[in-house]
Parts: sequence; C-alpha cells; structure tokens
Amino acid sequence: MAKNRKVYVTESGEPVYGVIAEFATPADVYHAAEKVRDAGYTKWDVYAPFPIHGIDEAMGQKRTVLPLISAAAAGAGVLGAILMQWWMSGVDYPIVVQGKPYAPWEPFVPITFELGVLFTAFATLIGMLALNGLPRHHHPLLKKERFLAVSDDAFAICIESGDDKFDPDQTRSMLERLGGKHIDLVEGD
Amino acid sequence: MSAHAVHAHDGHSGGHASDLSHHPLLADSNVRLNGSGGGLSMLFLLMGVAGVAATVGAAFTGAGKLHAMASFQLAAMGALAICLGGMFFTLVMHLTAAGWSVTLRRIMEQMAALAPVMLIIAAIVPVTDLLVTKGLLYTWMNPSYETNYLLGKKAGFLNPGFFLIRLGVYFLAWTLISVRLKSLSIAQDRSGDKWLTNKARFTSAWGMLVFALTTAFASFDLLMSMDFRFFSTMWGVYFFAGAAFSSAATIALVASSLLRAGRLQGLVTSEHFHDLGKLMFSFTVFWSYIAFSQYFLIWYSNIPEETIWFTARKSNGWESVFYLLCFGHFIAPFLVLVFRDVKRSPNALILVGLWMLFIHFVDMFFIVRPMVTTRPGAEALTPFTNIWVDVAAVLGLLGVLGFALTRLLGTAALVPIRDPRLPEALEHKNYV
Repeated sequence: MAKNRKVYVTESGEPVYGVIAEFATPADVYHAAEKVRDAGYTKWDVYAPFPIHGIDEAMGQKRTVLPLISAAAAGAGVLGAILMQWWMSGVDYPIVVQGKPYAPWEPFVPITFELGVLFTAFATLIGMLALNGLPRHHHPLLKKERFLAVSDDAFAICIESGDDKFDPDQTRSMLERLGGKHIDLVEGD
Repeated sequence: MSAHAVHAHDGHSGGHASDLSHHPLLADSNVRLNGSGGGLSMLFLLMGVAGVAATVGAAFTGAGKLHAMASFQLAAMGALAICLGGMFFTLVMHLTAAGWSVTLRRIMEQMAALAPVMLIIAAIVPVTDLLVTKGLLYTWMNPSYETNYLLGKKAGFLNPGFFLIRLGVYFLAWTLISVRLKSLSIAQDRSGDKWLTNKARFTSAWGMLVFALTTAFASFDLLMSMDFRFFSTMWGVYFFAGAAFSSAATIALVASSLLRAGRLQGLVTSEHFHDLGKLMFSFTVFWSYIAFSQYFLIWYSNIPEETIWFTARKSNGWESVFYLLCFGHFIAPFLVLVFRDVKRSPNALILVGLWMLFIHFVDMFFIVRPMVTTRPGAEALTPFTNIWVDVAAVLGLLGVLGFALTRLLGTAALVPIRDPRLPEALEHKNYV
C-alpha cells in the first residue's frame, strides 16, 4: 500500500470505489482479464454468474495462503490433542483402565485425529471468510442496478480505486479499448 | 487456455472419438513401445530369475524350507496385491465413467491382466505346503493340529478340498474380469465402437462385487489362514487397502517411466499425476485407517485368539518393523504427498512410488515372516536373521512382475486410443 496514493472523490464528494465495465461473453471477459493482468493491475475482480475455467490464470491470481492456515491449525490440533490426553491420563489423573498402561498411544489416536480435523475445518472456514473479507453487509457494487445481472447473464470487470495504477480516465479508456460496455464509475468505499 | 473457456463442452459430446484417431498425440511413436523397453524387460527377467533362484536355493541352506517358503509367499502376495489393485482401479474408472483417467487406464488393465498369473505364482507355496510339506507355513494343513478344538470349529472352511476349489474360483473370477475388460478396451482401439464402453461399465458393475468378495476371501486363504487361530473381520479390507496403495504407486511409476521413455507426451500430464497423487495420498490414509482400526480393536478388547497375532508382531525384535510401518506406511507418505507440487511432479512421484512399493513389501513381511520366528525352537531368530532371503524373494517377484508388465505394455497401445472419453482426458485440468 503506497502511502502517497491518491484518493479519488466524485463531484458530489463520494469516494470512488472503482470503474466497472461489462462484457458480452465469458470469452470476452476472459481475454479482457488477460489484458488487465498484463497492464499490471492488482486490485480488481471479474464478476460472472458461473465459474469460468482458467480465469485464475487469466487474472494472474496467486495461489491462496489458505492451505498454510489449514496446516498450522492441523498441527495445533494434533499437538494439542496429544498433550491434553497425555497430561490428563498420564500426569494429572492416572487411572488403571482394563489393565492398560496409564498413557498408551493407542486410544489417543481417534481423539488426535478428530481434534486435528476439527481445528483444520474451523481454521479453513474462518480463514477463507477472513481472506475474502466476509461476512459483510453491503458492497459498493450492489448499488449499481446493472451489476445485479452478473448473477444472471452478465460478465463484468471492476478495477478498484485502491489499485496503485488506478486513474479514473486512463483506466476507463483502457476498459473501453478492451471492448467493455456500459462503463461506469462506482461510488462508495 | 483461452479456447478452453469456450470449447469446454466438447469433452462431453461423446461422439467425437473417431475424430481424434489422427490426433498428433496419438501417433504410434507416442502411444506404442514399438519394441523399446526390451533392455528393461531383460533386466527385470534377470532380476526375477536370480531372485527366485536364490529364494529356492535358500530352502536348502541354513535359512531352511520354512523361511524360503515364507519369503517367497510374502513377495508373491505383495505382487498379487499390486495386480489386484490394477483391477480395482480399472473397475472404478469404468463404474464412475471417469474421463480424466482414460489415458492411464491401459496401464491399469495390463496390471489387472496379470492378476490370474500372479495368483498361480502365489498358489505354489500353499499347494506345495498342502501336498508335500504338510503344513509348514499354513498351520491348518499340519496333521498334528487335526485334533485342535479351534481348527475343528473352522474345518468346514479350512479343509483341503474347499481350499483348492476356492483358489480355482478366484482364478476364474479374476481371469473373467480382467480378460473381458482388457479385450473390450483393445477391441475399441480397432473399431472405435463407443458402445463397448457401456459393456465395460456393465461388466464392472458385477465385476466390482465379485472382485471385492474374491479379494477378501483370497486374503483370508493365502495370508490370514497361515495362523489358523487368528481371525480378523477387517482382514479383507486391510489386504485390499494395501493393494490399492501399492498399485496407485505402481501406476505412477509406470506412467513416469513411460514419460521418461518419450511416450505418453501430452497424454499424461501433471494434471493426471496430480489426481494419481491424490489417489496415492488417499490410499495412504485409507490403509492407515484400516490398519489402525484392526490393531486398535484387538488391542482394546484383548481377546487371546486375536491378540496372539499382534503379540508375536510386537515382541522379539518385531516392534521395530511395527513402528517402521507406522512411520513409513502412513506418516512419511502423508507428509510428502500432502504437497501439491509433489503430486504434480512425475519425477517426485517416482521417488515416492518406490518408497511406497518398498513399504508395501515391508507390510507383507510383517504379516508373513513372524510365522517363521514364532515357531517353537526359533526363539533366537530375529526379524532380520537371514533377511537376504526376503530381499531376494521380493526382488525376484518384482522382477517377474516387471518383466511381464513391460512385455504386456508392448503388446498394445499404451492408451485406449479410441475411447469416447479420451477428449475429456486430454483436456483434463485441476482448477485448484
């Protein structure tokens, strides 16, 4: 995040969220995404009613760090489960059960597995939501009547004003060159 | 890439199979061995002959007949498991109408075709034991146990006549399934008739049921019955889990080797290896789950007929093999295969696959070989006494398997070249 980044404001004083452009087909939006990626934009997104195969590469998206969050949680769950059981049945309150040793590893396995899976599941879900900035009640794009069609039959690219390369006029004219229709300024933050 | 978004539906239309027959990737130089691999098959044959000869020879040295029989049998059962795993994957791919794996399916079919042959090899020791050595390895065949109460209760199942009939049934069932699936696939190579795919799918429906039952019972007969006192209801699944584990590794090894030999270029890509790696990973976890469940319930309930098996395998030096399996059959492959880049790399999968084959035979070693050291009078023997016999037997049987598989792969195209789902396999991609 560059400190000296400009903050764009509309004539009415509203902050600018970004510039949106519509495209007719998945192929059009796919090719436009490749060009936006090559132009060096980083804070932008493609909106479509269904997953477009290969759009991640076309957008130049990096792999998510979510697996690392999941792995850390899995490790914590496994270690935590082993420590908890060893301390409870081996140290704090040893009881003879069926003549077995106080803290054998065998009965620890199911609980270790379950706690590992539980922690991983929670961390993956919460991590996914956090990385996506969810949940949120409102989004500037939802103010646009035309934008709602991206859940039906429209394809759109929105380049956000938070992008270091964002410039209201140049970004708009680039989207025009790429064949974008109904190009519009999105207000809000 | 860009064409993909628009033409992704092509793979599902089905009727395009014949359009692909002149596809550059399906040129003979890419999908046929054309006589190459001869050097490798000779190497395998040499290894096989030397290994088997050393094992047979060991019967007449200090190692003794029992040790040689156990070593041969553990190696043969390991090799049989690999072939049965190939049959399982062929059946699954047909049943699920899998598109991605079409370019790997011929390898599975060829592995499956060797299952009846491997069964014959794995029947040598038990039949010899029944007729000649009278229950040296398979204790229920030993006349001195005739009055044993437990054996008396099991004699309805464990008797020579029924045993031989069962071996015959397994042979017939596995021949029927593997020959039918392979010949349907090869007939399609010639005719391009897409309806043969439906026939293969129908065969797989009853074939899977027959496969499951025969594999489970074969594992009772050929492995579990060695110690007739022991029984485990998980045994069939345990053997099957090892079979799927080792054959997923073998498929990856064969496909990687073919890639290195300049074949299957563009037909088997990182995308296919990614999914194959997922199968290797999932059957690592599945084997561990089954092996642990079997051990855990026996450990907990503490019933002598069941614990006797694990007691023999957790004492007198066998603990090290027990913990090696925990580490090598679960923890190590799990921690390595969990990484996406490993699964997507054919070369990394060669290393992982070799390790998985090694540990698969350690598993068989753990099942079979304590039969030698638990005998009265064998107290001084550790798992590693005369280990060379086991190494020779495993290398020998791997040589036999490798020789037969290399030769078989040369007899037909390396992929089902006119399968209606081939376009789907060519376009296959993991979008994560």
